[in-house]
Amino acid sequence: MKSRDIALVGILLAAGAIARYISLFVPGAIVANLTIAFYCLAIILVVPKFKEALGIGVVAGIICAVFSHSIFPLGNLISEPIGAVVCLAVYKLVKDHTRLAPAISTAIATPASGFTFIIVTCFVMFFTTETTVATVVAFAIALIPIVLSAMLVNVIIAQIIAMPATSVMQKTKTVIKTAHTDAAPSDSVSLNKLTFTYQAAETPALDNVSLKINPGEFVVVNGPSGAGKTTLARAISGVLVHAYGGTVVGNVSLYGKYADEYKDVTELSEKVGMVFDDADAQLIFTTVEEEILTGLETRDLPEADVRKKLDEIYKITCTGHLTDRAPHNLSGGQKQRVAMAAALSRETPLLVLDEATSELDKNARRQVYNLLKGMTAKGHSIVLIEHMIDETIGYATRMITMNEGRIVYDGVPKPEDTNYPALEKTAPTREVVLEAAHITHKFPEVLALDDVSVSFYKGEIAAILGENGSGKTTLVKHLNGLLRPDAGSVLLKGEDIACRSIPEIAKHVGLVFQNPDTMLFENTCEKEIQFGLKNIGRSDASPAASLAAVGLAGKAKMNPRHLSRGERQKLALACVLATGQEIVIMDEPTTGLDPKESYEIMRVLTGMRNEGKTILMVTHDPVLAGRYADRIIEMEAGKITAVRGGE
Amino acid sequence: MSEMEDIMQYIPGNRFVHRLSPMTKIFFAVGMMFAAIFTSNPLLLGGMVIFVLAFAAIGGAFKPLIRQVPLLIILGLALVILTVLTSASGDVLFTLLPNGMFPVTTGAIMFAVQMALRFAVLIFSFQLLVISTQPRDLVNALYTLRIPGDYALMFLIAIRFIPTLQREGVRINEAQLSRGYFPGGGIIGKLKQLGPVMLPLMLNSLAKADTLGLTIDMRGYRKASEHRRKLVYHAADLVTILVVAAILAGIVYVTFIL
Repeated sequence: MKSRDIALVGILLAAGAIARYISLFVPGAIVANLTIAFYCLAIILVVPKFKEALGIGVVAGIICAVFSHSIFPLGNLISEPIGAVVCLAVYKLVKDHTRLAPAISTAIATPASGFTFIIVTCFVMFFTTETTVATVVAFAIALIPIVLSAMLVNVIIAQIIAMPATSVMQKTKTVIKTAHTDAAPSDSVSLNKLTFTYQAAETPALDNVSLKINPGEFVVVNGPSGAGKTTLARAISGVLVHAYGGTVVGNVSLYGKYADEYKDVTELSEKVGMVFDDADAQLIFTTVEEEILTGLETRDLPEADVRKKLDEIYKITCTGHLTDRAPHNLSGGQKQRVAMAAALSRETPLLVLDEATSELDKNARRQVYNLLKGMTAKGHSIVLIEHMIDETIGYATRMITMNEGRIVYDGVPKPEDTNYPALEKTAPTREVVLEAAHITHKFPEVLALDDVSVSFYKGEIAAILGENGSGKTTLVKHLNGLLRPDAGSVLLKGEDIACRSIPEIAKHVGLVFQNPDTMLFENTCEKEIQFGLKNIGRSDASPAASLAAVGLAGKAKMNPRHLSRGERQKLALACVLATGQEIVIMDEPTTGLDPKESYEIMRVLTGMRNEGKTILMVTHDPVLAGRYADRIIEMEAGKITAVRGGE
Repeated sequence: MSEMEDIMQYIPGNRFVHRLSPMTKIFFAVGMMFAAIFTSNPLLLGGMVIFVLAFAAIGGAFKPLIRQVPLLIILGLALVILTVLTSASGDVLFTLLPNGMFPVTTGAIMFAVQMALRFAVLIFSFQLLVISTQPRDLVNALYTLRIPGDYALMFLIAIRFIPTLQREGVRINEAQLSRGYFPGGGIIGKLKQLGPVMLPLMLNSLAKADTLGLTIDMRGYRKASEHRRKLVYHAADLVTILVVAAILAGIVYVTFIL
């Protein structure tokens, strides 16, 4: 199996364990196993060999037995492998004939597994208790409706998820079109007239790019979203020709070998380390120490060296205090540090970082740049993809700017010209529309909000500024009722919202979370907006105007998942624009966006403000707050420490 | 919802049960499972429930087990209803409906009690294994049991992502609530959440598989199983194994030989 497929199955089994756990609270759901839907999905998406399907079934069985309160663990170890193999057999038979193949294979696999479980259980029951055959048979018959209802739910789950998932997970092959040149490949890293087109894409992501990176160079790559920065990172590290589907013209060579001459990514990994932007997807183990240690252990170093190097990595990445923490108990910034530490443990001559510091604060970023600079002094090459490059000047030795798949600048680092026209603003008002009065909120281990009072006015942009854990997100969740205060009250236009439900409050207060992907789920932009309209009972309204307002007019029928990150953020904004709430809360509205996209989002928000709406912007970026907000409310450790502006 | 407890997670601790080798704890869970299967005597089963709870109490893991009791009560009631509806043996105690329909018999009640006690032994002992064992030790035990490295890795990723998915699910649910979405409660409400909550949750997570796969390859984790750490056994491991073996042997003797 490919590593990607192992990861995919693992994630689905985790989802299955949760679904099973939740379903247990339905009385009688003792054999109604929703895990089956998820390992069936895994098999449908991966289409493994029969032996592998059996293995997937065994792992699912172990998870059911150990983690999900099985009433008879031994039964799961037999029934889940049978379910998995049946699912694969049925899916192979029907997949080319109908789009309902996921539903059909799950529909057959669920009773196959369920009845196996019942038979095993009844068999044991019959031989170990003084029950009669009649009782056991009656017991088994009574379980049939439960198995059938589980089958129904599983079929719905499998079919609803399988269709869009197949398009997300499309399996592709790389086609290499150019023969290697006769000249020996360069002994550093070089791209030679490289053009790369992703499968199903019309224009190349990289267009005739040539480039050579020498030992000891610190290269920073910038450019707008969609310019090909990430593809360039994948090309430089050599993984492009191994792990991504598409057409390659031209050559990539690393350390005396062409990239496609490396057997696989594992062989490449002796030369190249990569850190990606999604830190969560780079943590595989359940503790920080395990993550870094395993990377060291697989290098076959003497044991004493492993320990020494581990301590050194803890020190340089400031992760020593996190050793026993699990990934889900780390903040975004800490996750990025750990992912970097794990990549550093390989000590590769080339390290490629793709937006790998986006969630670190300014000081931490500077620390990382210092660390990388120190590595270049020892002969390592560093390639850093960043859309905010100003902070890297002084560290990087070379800057490459990309646009539309081409290199448009390659030379000494220089600051970006970010001259966007100032946005016009109408005069602010002092009319209070939303007010938090002495609110206190306690989480089990921490006082998240400590007697916080603040008012928001009609027609203003108020920025709530603070570091991670300062309580800013907890505060805004109180403003739309997601959290209720332990003490104090929230007043919406003078009225306490304590007795009002979230859907009711949502008609007046809109909240857009940091990552647009936490809300987008429909298959066209238009439908995504209609979902919100329907919720507030205005399904007759048209989504066109709000799409146009954010500059997505031509993309009404497009799948949100095929939009760029910046466009998805705009779509999220269009959703609250359409539903027309007077108060709109944006959590980190510009994270992951380039300066131009950030400006466009802020332009729309300022327009909304000028129409008399109240915009609350939660951010940890003082520059953004200073540039666009009427008032800045600073928070620290659950308290408001300062309110600036608005006098 | 946002303060929902982590499900099925290791709870850090340093008492007796935590320090046992993972293999010992697996033997404990499997041994108790067989002991519970081999007997249907409610007194013996009740004794085993008390033994598992006492064992957990010595190890400082009593509270999380007790939290499973509501679930057991639901299971037990479901079993009583099932057996009452399907089996009639022994004396009739009373009938559910006044016209003599659905007689509740001693046999049915006995059967339900036996099954509920048996499930209590199984669920408590496996729960004890999960909450007192670091996932990495569990994976190490899988290596020791000769489970191929790829499948151990799959298991590891599943455990790793259970709490992450749980948190992400809460976040997505909050995001949709903020858009005025109200699915209602109960089973129908859960089913209605499939689209707006489950779909983005699964698609976002599946989109991570590419990066996860690359990370596994780039850090050489496929070879991790060749570097499994040696499991260490102490005197307490021996004592535990002997006690469980004695219980198992005792049950076998009582059931099959006496």
